[in-house]
Amino acid sequence: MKPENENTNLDELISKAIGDKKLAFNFQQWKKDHPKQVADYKEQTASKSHKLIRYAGILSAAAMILLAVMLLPTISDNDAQPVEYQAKILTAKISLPADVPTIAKLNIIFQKYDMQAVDTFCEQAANRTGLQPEKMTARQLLKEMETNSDNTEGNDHENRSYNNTDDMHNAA
Amino acid sequence: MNSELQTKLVNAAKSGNIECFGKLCENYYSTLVAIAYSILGDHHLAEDAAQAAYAKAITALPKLKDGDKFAPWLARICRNTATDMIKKKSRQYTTNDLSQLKAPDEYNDNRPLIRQAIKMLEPSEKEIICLRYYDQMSYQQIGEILGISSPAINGRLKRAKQKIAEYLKRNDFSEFEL
Repeated sequence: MKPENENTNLDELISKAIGDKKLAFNFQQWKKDHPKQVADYKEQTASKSHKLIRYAGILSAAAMILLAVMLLPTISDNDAQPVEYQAKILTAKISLPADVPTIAKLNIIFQKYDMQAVDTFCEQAANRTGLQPEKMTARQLLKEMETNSDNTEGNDHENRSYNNTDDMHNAA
Repeated sequence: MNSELQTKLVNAAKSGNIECFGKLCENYYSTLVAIAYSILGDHHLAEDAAQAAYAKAITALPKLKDGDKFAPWLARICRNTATDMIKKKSRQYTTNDLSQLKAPDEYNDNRPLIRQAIKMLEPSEKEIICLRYYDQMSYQQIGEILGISSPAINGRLKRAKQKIAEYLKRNDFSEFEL
């Protein structure tokens, strides 16, 4: 912005009255004359750097703790279960695809042979996996049903003989 | 010094680079002396005040939050330092010294009268006159130091000069037309 109030004569008079001073500042000399202030400044700036480093350390430690707290339930989820239960799950996971009878397998065996063949298959599977049924077996259930029906109904499947377990496995 | 360079120097000085603080001191020295002179009315005392202001500034610098306000912050420290000095040395030096302290060749010139006219101004007017005519600062530079706009500076300078001219006229100073 161009000054609006230039009065050359007055400006010169004021400049001559108070100005015309060539000033130079010697900072090195000033530092020598003010050692205490310089030392305070250095101490402050140094402690500021140390504070920053310390805060960074605290922050990173806090982040690690937070991360550990977040991950802890995921890591210890399986550990919270009883040991026996974990063993059963492990056994089931390993033996399920090959040995444990499934509904589909049993259905195929029953359609191809008879109920007795189903029971035999289940018993063999139980022996291999170690998961013995605690309640009534299929064979016992079958006998009970036969007793109840009093042998009145004829069943073609009963007349079939079933001796070869390899056939059953092939069928499964 | 452009504002970008100044901001870099201020940030470096805040981080502990004392040489950057030295560069800033060299840049603002005459400005601070002008501000102190407007209060103390003596060149030597004004230089002492500016250097004492630097001593205060260097210890307070790490706590300065806004680096962009460095110049007004430094000017405020200098103003307070000069005011403290004039309070402490009120018996020895007053603003009357603007007219009383004479160099040997000044007895027959008009400078004491003009200094007396400046002494009669308001503190803010004295300060702006000193920044403009002691340090030969531009309106933009004055604006950065005082934190006011160029039109405001222009208006304040105009009023100050008018008062000086009126004072000189009342004292039979007829070297220029008002």
